[in-house]
Amino acid sequence: MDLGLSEEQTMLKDSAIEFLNAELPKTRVRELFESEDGFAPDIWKQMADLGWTGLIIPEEYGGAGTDLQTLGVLYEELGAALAPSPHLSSAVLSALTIEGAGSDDQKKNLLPAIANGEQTLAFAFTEPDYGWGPERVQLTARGEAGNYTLDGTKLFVPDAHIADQILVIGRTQGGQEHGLTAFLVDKDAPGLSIRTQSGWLGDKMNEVTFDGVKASDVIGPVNGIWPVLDSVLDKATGVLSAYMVGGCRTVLEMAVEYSQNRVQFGVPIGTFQRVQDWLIMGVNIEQSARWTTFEGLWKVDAGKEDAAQAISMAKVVSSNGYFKAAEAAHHVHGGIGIDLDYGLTWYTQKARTLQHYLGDAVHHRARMARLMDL
Amino acid sequence: MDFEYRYSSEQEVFRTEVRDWLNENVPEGITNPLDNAHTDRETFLWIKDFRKQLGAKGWLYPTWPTEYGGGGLTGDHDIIIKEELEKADVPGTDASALFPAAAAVWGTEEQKQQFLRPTLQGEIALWQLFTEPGAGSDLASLRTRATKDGDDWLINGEKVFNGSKFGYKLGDDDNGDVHEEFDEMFTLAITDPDAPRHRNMGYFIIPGDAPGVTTQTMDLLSGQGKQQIYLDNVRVGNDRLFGGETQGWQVAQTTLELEHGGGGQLVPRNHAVEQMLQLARDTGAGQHPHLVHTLMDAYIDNQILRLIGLRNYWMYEAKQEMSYHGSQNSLWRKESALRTADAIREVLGLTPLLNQDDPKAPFGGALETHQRESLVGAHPGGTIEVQKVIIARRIGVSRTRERAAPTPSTAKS
Ligand SMILES: Cc1cc2nc3c(=O)[nH]c(=O)nc-3n(C[C@H](O)[C@H](O)[C@H](O)COP(=O)(O)OP(=O)(O)OC[C@H]3O[C@@H](n4cnc5c(N)ncnc54)[C@H](O)[C@@H]3O)c2cc1C
Repeated sequence: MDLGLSEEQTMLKDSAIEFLNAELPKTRVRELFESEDGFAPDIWKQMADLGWTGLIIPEEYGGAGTDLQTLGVLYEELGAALAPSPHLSSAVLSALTIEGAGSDDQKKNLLPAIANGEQTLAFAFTEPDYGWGPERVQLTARGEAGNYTLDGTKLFVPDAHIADQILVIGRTQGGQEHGLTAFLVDKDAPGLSIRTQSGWLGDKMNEVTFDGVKASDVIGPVNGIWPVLDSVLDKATGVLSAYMVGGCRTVLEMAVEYSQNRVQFGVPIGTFQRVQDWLIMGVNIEQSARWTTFEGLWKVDAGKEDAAQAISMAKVVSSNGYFKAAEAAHHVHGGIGIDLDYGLTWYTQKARTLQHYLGDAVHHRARMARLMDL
Repeated sequence: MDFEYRYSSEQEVFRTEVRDWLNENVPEGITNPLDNAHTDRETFLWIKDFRKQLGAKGWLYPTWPTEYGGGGLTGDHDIIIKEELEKADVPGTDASALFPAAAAVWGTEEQKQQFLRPTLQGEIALWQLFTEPGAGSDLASLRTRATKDGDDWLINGEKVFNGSKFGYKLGDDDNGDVHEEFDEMFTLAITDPDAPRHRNMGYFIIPGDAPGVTTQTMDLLSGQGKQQIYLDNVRVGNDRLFGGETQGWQVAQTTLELEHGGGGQLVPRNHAVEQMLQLARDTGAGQHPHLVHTLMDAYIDNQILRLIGLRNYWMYEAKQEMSYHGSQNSLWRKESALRTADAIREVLGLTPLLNQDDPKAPFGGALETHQRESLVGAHPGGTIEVQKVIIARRIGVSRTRERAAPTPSTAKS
C-alpha cells in the first residue's frame, strides 16, 4: 500500500501548477467565463504541446499511455485552477470510445490527431430528457452500414461549438442498453445546428439539433456500443471527480486564507467557531472526495471487480461535495464572496454544473445499489 | 498509488501460521460479545491470559520494537495478524497505543523497561484516568493534586468515566466478593498549582491496587464498565512520573493524538452497515425509491471512514507529518456512527431497537447494541465539538495554533 504519488505523477503535478499559475490568473478565468465561447486556443495548444491531450492514449497511437490515476493527478490541478478546455470531451470521452470500439483504421486516423490536439471532438449523449442512463438516449438513427441519418436533439453538450467533429450516441433500435450506436458527425454537416445555451452554467453547453444529418462514420458495433460506453463513462467520471477534488481544494484554501485575514470584532473571523464549522466542512468534503476518487481511479487501473461501484461512489461524493464546499466558502466570505473579481463565484458556478455532468448523486447512488444487488 | 496490501508468498505462509495458531489456541465459543457488559468472568480471565500469549509471540503489538516487548514485525505482518484476529472474532485483542505511545516518546529507558515492556507483552493493561467531574472537554482545568512527599508523590482527587473492556470491575462473584482486575492507570495531576495552565501538571501511572484507590461503577447506556475513581492519598514513586514534573500536559497530548485516530485504522469492520444492507435485500427496502438513497449514503459514509483510517495508517507508517488528520478520523467516526444509526432506523423501522432477549431481534440484537453504542461513542476522547476545535487549530485559523503532538511515528529518537 502506498497512497503517495509516483515520481512521474509529482513531476506532472508540479509542471501543471507552474503552467496554470502562469497562464490562468483569475482575471483570465473571469474573462473566459464571460466570453462567448469560453475557449482559450492558446492554452489548448500548449496543453497539447505538453502532451496532456495524449496522456492516456496508447503510445502506438501517439499518446503517452499513462494510467488513469496519473490523468487524475492532472485533472485535480486543472480543476483547482478552473482550467476550461475540451480535454474531457475530446481526449477522454471521445478518445476512449474510439480506442475501445473503433476499427484499426479509425484508431490510426483519429487517435494521433486527438493526441496532438489537431482534432477536437465533442461528446453528445444527453437529451432534453436529461440523464446518463442508456434509456435516456432517444435520438433516432436510421439507415444501414455506412449510411446513417440522425434526427433529434442533444442538450447540454459541452464543447460542440468549438469541436471539429461530434461523437454522437444515437438509437438504432428500441430498448435500453441494446440499440445504442456511436456516430461521428462533422461540424459542418448539413442539417446540424449548434446553439450555445445561456445561463449560469459552469461550462459552455450546447443544444445540438440534428435534422436529417448524415453521420460521417460509425464507431463500434451497431446497436452494441453500450458496454464500451459504460466503461468509458466510468473512466471519464473518475477523472471528472478528480477535477472536482481540485475545485474543492481551492475553495477551501480561499476560505481558510480569508478567515485568517479578515478581522471583525477585533479578531480574525476564523477564530469564531461558527465560521470554523464551515471550514471543517470544507476539509471533510475535500478529503472525502479525494480519497474516494483516487481509490476509484486506482480500482479501474487495477481492474478491480468493484471498480464501477467505486467510481459511482466517488461521483456521489464529489457531485454533492463540490457545491457544498463552495457554499461553505461563501458563508466564510460574507459579501466579498459574490464579487465577480474576487473569483469564488466561478467555482460555485462550475460546481453546480459538474454536479450533474456524467450523472448526479441520485443517478450514481441508484447505480451503486444496482451494482451491489440491493 | 496503491490502496491495498499485497502479500508475498512468505507472508501468506505467515498468515497460515497465525490462523493455525488461533485455531489451536482459541476455544470454541469464545467470540466478541454483542455488548461488552456480557463478558463473563471466565471469558475475562481467558482474555487476560490470551493477551499474554499473544504478547509473548509479539503479536499483540506486532510493529513495536522487540527491545520493549513488541513484535518487531513489519506493517504487513501487522495487517495479517489483525485480519486473522478479526476473522476469528477473538475478543479482547485490541492493542491500545494510548499509554505505549506516551511511554515510548516521553519515558526514560528504565520506565520503558518497567512499564512499556509488560504492556506490549500483554502482561498489564492500563486505564486512562483523565476526566474529572469538573474537567471534561476542558481537561486542563483538572483539580487532582500530586504533592511531593520525600521521594514519592501523594495523589488526591476524583476521576470519572474511567476504565475499559479490560480490567473492568466484574461485579460480585458467587461469594459476593468484588473483583477489581485492572492493573495500572495513567493519570494527570497538578504538581505546581502556581504554574500557568498546561505547565502545571504531571503524567503518572498508578497501580490499580494501590492503597487509597476506590472505585464505583457508573450506570451507563452501554456496558463499558466505566468507573468513578477516588484517589485518596495514593502514594507513588517518582519512577512513575512520565516526562518532567510539569510536562504532563505535553505527555498527554501524545496519548490523545493516538486516541483521536492519529495511528489510523486498517482492518475496520462495520457490522451494522453490512447487516443493514443484508436486511435491506431481504425486506426489499433496497428497492424503495427513497430508502435506496438513505442506504447508499450510509454505506458511503462508512467507506469514507475506512479511507480516512487507511490514509492515517499510511501516513503514520510512512512517518509523514500529520496535522488535523487524527481528529478528523475521530470526528468522522463519531458523526458517521450517529448518522448510520439514524439511517438504520429510517430503513428498518423499529426492529433495530429489539435486543438480544427478543426472538424477533435481527442478528441476535446486534443492531440494538449499535443504536446505544453509536450514541455513547460520541464523547470519549474528546467530543465532536472538541475534535472540531482541534482541527481548527491545526488548519491554522484558531486563536490557538498547534501542531500535532509527537507520536512514536514522528518523534525524533
Ligand atoms: C463512554 C465513555 C467513555 C469514556 N472513557 C474515558 C476514559 O477511559 N478515560 C477518561 O479519562 N475519560 C473518559 N471519558 C470521558 C470523556 O473524555 C468526556 O466525557 C469528554 O471529554 C467530554 O467531557 P464532558 O462529558 O465533561 O462534557 P463537557 O466538557 O461538559 O461538554 C458538554 C458539551 O459542551 C461542549 N463543549 C465543551 N467545550 C467546548 C468548546 N470549547 N467548544 C465547543 N463546545 C464545547 C461539548 O462538546 C459538549 O457538547 C469517557 C466518556 C464516555 C462517554
